[in-house]
Amino acid sequence: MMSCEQFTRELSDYLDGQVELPQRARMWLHAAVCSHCRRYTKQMRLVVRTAHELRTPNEGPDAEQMASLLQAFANPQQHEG
Amino acid sequence: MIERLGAGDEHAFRQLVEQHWRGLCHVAMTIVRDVATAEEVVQETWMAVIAGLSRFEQRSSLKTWIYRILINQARKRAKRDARVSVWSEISERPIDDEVSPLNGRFDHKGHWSAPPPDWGIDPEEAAIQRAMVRLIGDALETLPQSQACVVRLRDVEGFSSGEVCELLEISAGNQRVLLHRGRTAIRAYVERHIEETRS
Repeated sequence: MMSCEQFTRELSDYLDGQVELPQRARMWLHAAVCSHCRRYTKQMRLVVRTAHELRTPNEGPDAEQMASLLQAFANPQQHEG
Repeated sequence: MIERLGAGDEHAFRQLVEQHWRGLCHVAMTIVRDVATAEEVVQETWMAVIAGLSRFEQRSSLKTWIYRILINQARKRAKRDARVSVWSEISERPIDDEVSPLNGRFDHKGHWSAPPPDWGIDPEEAAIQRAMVRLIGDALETLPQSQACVVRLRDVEGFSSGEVCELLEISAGNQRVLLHRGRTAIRAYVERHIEETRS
């Protein structure tokens, strides 16, 4: 039987779908009987899911920076090299 | 998008910059760790994108290509500024010696001796969601650079593990360890915060 410590070590890979059978089956079996690891899994899923919310809304640089980028874009040959 | 950029479509370019500016800044920050320098690196990245656009071969997505340039620029900058820790060296260092945030939580058989507490929150609640996003942002700031960078690219920006290995030139095993460490540390940070707020 897999230990809780092993379970937590494999969990990140598991959430990424990187754990192959039969190891994945061992993790299912463990989680089926271990409420602590089920809770831990739920919390990790929440962390990973919420991290994606950190993706910032579209927001460009300040006007000055944008102006210099647009100028460079309009005259790319001056910036090649 | 590529065609429009190639044709000199300014609107398309502006859109592209706005779409990626903040994300690029955040990732640059995990390598240079200073907002002003990160913004400079991002500005240099866009200049390099403009200069290289005609040579972009679409072997990777446009986004991956831009991030690849960013990471090169940021590493070059970190090296030039002679920072103590240059990422490329950290990333390939053996990382087994690091103390896990779960140290001391298991008994000698590997069973929980200090199991994860119930956080007692409803993650579907909007206010909780906002607080969690903030908390995870704070947690990311406390991570070692290499872990913060991998978590940002994988979980925040949504790059695949293969793309992250390619971007950072690290092995698949190393990527997995860094991601595992980073995610574990973030969960532990959230847990500490919840426990502190309760007591």
